Amino acid sequence: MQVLSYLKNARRSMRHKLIGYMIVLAVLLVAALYAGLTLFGRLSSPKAEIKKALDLQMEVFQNDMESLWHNVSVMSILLSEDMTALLEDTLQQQGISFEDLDGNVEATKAVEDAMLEPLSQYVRQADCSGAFVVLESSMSDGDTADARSGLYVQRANAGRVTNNLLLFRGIASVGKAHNVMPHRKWAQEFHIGQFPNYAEHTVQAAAPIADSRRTTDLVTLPGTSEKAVLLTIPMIGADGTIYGMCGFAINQTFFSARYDQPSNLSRLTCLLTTESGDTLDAGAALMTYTEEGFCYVPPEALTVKPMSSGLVSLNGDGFSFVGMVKSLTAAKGDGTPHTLAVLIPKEDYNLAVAKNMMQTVLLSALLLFCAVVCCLYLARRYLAPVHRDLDRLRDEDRGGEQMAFSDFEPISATLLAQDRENEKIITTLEQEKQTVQEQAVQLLDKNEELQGQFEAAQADAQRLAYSRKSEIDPATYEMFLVGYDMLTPTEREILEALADGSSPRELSEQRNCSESTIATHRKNIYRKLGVHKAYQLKICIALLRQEREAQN
Amino acid sequence: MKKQGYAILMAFILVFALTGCGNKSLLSAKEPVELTMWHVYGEQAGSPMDTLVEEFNRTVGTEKGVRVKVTELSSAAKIGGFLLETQRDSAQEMPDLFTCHIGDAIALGEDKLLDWNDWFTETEQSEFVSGFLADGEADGKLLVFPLSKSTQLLMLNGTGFARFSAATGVTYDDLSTWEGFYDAAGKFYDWTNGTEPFCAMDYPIRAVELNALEHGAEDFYTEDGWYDFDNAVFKESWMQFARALAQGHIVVSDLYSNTQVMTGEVLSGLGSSAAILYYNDTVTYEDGRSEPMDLQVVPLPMTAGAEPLMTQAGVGLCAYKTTEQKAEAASLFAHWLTEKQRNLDFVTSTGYMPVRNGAFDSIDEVEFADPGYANLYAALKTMQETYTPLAEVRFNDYYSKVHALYDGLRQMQQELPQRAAAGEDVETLAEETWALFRSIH
Repeated sequence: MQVLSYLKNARRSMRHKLIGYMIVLAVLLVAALYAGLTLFGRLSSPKAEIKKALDLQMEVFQNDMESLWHNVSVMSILLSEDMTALLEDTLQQQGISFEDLDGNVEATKAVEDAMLEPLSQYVRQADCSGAFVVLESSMSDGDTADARSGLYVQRANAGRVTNNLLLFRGIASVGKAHNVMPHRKWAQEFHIGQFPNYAEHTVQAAAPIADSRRTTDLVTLPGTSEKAVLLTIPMIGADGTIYGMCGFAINQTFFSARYDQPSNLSRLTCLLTTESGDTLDAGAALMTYTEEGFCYVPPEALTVKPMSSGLVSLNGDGFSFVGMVKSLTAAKGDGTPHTLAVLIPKEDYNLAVAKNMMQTVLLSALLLFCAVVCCLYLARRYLAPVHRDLDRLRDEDRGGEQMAFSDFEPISATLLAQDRENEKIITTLEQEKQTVQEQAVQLLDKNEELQGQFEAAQADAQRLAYSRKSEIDPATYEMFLVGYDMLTPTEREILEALADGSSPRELSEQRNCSESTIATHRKNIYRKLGVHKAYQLKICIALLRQEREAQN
Repeated sequence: MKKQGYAILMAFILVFALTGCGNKSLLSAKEPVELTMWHVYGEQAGSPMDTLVEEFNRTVGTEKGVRVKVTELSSAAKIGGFLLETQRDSAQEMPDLFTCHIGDAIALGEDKLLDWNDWFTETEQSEFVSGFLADGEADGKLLVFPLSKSTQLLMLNGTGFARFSAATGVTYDDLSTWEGFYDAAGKFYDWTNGTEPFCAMDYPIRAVELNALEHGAEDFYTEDGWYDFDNAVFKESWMQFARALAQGHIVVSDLYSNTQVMTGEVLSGLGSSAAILYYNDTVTYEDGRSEPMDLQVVPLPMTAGAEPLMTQAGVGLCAYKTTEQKAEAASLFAHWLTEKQRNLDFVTSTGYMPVRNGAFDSIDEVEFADPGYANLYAALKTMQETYTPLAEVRFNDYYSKVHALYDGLRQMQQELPQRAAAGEDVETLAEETWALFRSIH
């Protein structure tokens, strides 16, 4: 009840009402600002912001990857055609068939010698860390059935722009002759046991070669810790003989050095990997980072779980990330599914969300603070003076020149003038009052005097009535009483007047009628009352009045 | 009284603030700092160092907020050049951490590098071999922190040597002296009918130096950081090497001796102990034959009757001076990397010697899966017990001259053996190499 009463009173208070309006205004301002920011896209959810940033990163990374694989897949066709032609030319020069190459060291040396320089050019020109040719033949004596001749040339330092090349596989003397020094983990021949799904890449291949391009999962180059994805294409002769395969390698060093990603994100990792069900294998991924930053992703399978807004969470052993995944087809005909992923640490994501929320809270608080400050300022600089002016208007001098606002000065002047007028009226009234009071005193005195006279007259009347009662016949008085009841009201008034001593002329003037009318009335009165003399009438009236007073 | 109270309050605040500053780490797990790193462990082959970096990132790095990213893998000979090139090119960024020789570090500028003395206490430093620490010092600053040390020794194709030994009677013991080494080289060359040198040497000048010193040569360096060609003992040491080179008994390795051993071009390689990382299990000859490598390792030959000397080489860890936060992160990584067991595991997987006092004895307890590594550490133990280590020289521009010398010798060794075989005087041919040596300034 007290609260209601307070509110009821508050409603009447200008101050409280203004505060109420201010609050409503502040809320409306804040709401309008938020609506505006949202409308112009300046205020969005942190998840949407991160999604937008990762979308952009994914687009850039996807473009890079499509460009990379387009480059090597197109180059691979040329490589295959060139290497096939070189092989056939060399075999022709040697006067042997392809089958005769097996176990023929000199012929193999001639083939590798012919191929090495063009192959080196391909390494320098293509977006790759290395290029290789694997022939379906071997120089070995047959003890190693999985040995295959061929060449593997790779950049001496994939992380740097250099034309220096190394011979990872091939005849060392051939490499040295072309200034391609043997790799520190050099071997003369390939061992296809170390090559995943070798058969699929060669003997199972069929023309057209463009449709038989394949990519491998991430493989570790034998003897090294260097990981690479290989793109292979078969080498098929005009007669359909499968000579082997060739292709390009993209290793981790080259990948991260060549495709570092421009980004505003401080920590980002982009992966080219394989996805299986709900896991993404970071251990089988080529990874690249931002130009400046680095985000450590453990080489293990990460569990992928969808989040809202198209994002996914990826969780490993003690590591969590948020990112996006997309599939990629490396080359036409390649059935190996590749997945692109861009990841940021979950803690960065959480931090961004918290930061955004904090910004929103701070923005709201700032807006509210500004609104409150504005309201207080308005109240202090405008409403308080108004309030003071209103108070001053109640003062004796109506504010006068102290008014804060000139708008109130005419009101002040008007009220002041009214005050002066009222004072005059009051003065007059008081004078009149005094006069009236004096007159009242006089009248009171006169009244007392008249009262005394009246009481004396009344006493006289009583005495007279008492003394005259004997002068009149009781029968006459009885007739008078009977006749009195028969008088009309007009006649009674005239009778009273006559009894009080009024003359017929005074009566005619008082009643605005002729004296004859008054005379007629008098005649009727006398007749009805049965009296014939005026003194009889006065006596009867006096007796009547005496009886009535006695009765009252 | 009021002033006294104010002074006490200020003093309290100051002490509190300073105490806070002293203990407060600049590292934060939530805001990790990234350190880029260039190193030389496992060029072209992949490296146990990368595995260690991976482990650091996963464990301590994650906990403390430090990420180490290996952005370059080079060789000890080349990394100094790459670093200088990068420092001069403002478009490129220097790595925060790198491994290099003290000479490379000095060339980069002592004031540009972190002084590890500020980050390792005297007590901590006392746990490392003092000579190894001294190798990384310049002007009282510890610029290169020792991670591992290598030395030179002889690695051989055991299968091939067994055939050679059976045919000629030469044994591994014969290779213990320079005289025996060169003699065996000649015998091998003859045994192969002049088709195959006995040894490829990666750093022949070092072998010549040590041989000369063992023969009692006085200081043969000049003030400008090259050699005193009037030093007779030094010249004789050179000539011993040059005669073998001129006759084709040995060669200067064309890039790395290990590849020449693996391709069957030579029977042995004289180079860094760290080369073991690159040796394959098999030797593959150009005719398609292959056979097990059976890697054998013997100590660096010495001068008979002299006090044997061994080279003490090996890069160490440097940190480029940038921010205090990165300095603290680099220190964290360096401490972690040089922890006793970790350092031992690392060096024994890369062919290096440990850098902590007494750690060499712990190698005896290591069980090597690869017999080649067991052979290596047996040889290293012999050398560590009987040889006197000698640090590498640190003259400016010294290594570019050495590389020029090697390039010249590689050119000459293409034709000298044929000329010797054709009957030209070996001594004269050897003098030609000396002339080449003298021509380099």
